[in-house]
Amino acid sequence: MPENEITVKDIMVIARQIGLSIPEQSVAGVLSNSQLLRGYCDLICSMDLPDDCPPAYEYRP
Amino acid sequence: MSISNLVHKIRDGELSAEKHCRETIQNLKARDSKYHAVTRVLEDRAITAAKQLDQKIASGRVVGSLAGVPFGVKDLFDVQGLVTTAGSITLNNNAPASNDAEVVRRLCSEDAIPVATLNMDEFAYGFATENAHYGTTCNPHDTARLAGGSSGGSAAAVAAGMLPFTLGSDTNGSIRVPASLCGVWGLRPTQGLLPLSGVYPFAASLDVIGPFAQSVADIRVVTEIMAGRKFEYKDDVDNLKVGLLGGWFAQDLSADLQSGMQKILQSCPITCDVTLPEANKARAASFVITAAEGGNLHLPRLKTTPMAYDPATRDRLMAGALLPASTVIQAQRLRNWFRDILHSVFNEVDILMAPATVGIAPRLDQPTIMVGGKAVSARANLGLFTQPLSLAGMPVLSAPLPPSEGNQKSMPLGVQFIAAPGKENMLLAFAEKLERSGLLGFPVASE
Repeated sequence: MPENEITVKDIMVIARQIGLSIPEQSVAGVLSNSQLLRGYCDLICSMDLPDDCPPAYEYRP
Repeated sequence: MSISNLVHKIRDGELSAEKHCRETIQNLKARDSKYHAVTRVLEDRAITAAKQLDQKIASGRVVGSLAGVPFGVKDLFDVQGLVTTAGSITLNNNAPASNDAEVVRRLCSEDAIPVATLNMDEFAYGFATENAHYGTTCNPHDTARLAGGSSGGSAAAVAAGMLPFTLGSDTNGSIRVPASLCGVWGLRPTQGLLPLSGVYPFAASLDVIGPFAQSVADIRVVTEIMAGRKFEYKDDVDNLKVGLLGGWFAQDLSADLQSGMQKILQSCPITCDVTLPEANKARAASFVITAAEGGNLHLPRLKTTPMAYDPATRDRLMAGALLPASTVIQAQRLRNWFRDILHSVFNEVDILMAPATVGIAPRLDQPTIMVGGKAVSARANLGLFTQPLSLAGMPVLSAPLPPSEGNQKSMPLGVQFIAAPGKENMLLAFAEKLERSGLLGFPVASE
């Protein structure tokens, strides 16, 4: 398994932190979606942004 | 019939609003079993409004600029007296809406008549309008294919010629994708132009609402009324500089799509190629922001009534709720960075053009699209080209290419035209010119 692969144990730990109980029928689906999102998160976090680039809160085009 | 012609006929007494309204409702009831675009017909309300309008006209009183025009709304717009479902059954115990959504109110104040609510992906989370509770909306041009989503019912109702205009919402492409696959016009206006009051949210920082219609003129009149102002454009649209988005936006395109875009470029005297840096990361940011905001919005219900959700929606929302804060903040920072890049592009060009989807509507029995040589889920990936553009809040018009030459039965394909924020006036004037020249526009589906 790749080092950064998300596991069922990982998602259960995070779910517990936010008080979410994942139904048994959803564990595989949540895991699969979390792995998909992990790929996107890795892409985003590979981007070096300047310190003065703030988050887009109160977004205005 | 255009909205303008319909209004003239009703105002002039050539056509009774009640008669037209009854015919519209009868048509919806007779034909929608093929498409599954409609979730509720608002018969009593519509007939009452139409009768009142006929009385106004008969008594010589002034009537609104949309007098007697029937329309439908995606199932996430509040309609007074109805529970807003957002395409789900989890909200069924909510109180009925006490008022219409603000844009519905504005349209009704001009004597338009809401006649139906329309199908969508549950909570707008998908590009397919495959809804476990209300059914899958079929493409009116080939009912064996998807209509796209999440505003699939809205696009299909216009494409089938059942309604002259409808309303949808667009967080990541939910107006532009179904408009493209169904061969109708769809506008994602500048973020903030249209009020979201009375519209059930999905990912609040990206949500925008807008119309579907059969022509640019119809899109214009409806959007102006919802915005509360006119989009006048007095300059020449013949000499606008048009940039074709390449790189990320040039992958996996069908030959007909490439050919249609080339014809448009050849009609424009000043063109250039534009490549946006890091478009794949922008798409990833849009994906992550949506997942996180959607997951957070639904977390209380995911804790108490998870089994009321469509399983696919539930799994996606739960995964979104689990995302780490630092990644979501990074996505919002990347969004600002990408917005600045896009805005700087408009110092050099007037209009950008990009495909709306990679190709025609996927089949219902094979809901996948080819990306990078791999078959991937249509529900999650049809927004490949719309998602990056959602980040920057600009107006984006999804425009249908005409049927491919010699093949009037070809399936629709759509392109996106993008302008700087607030430039709906220029965007629509430019599109009208292309529509008049036959380079854009797709016929209504035959019955």
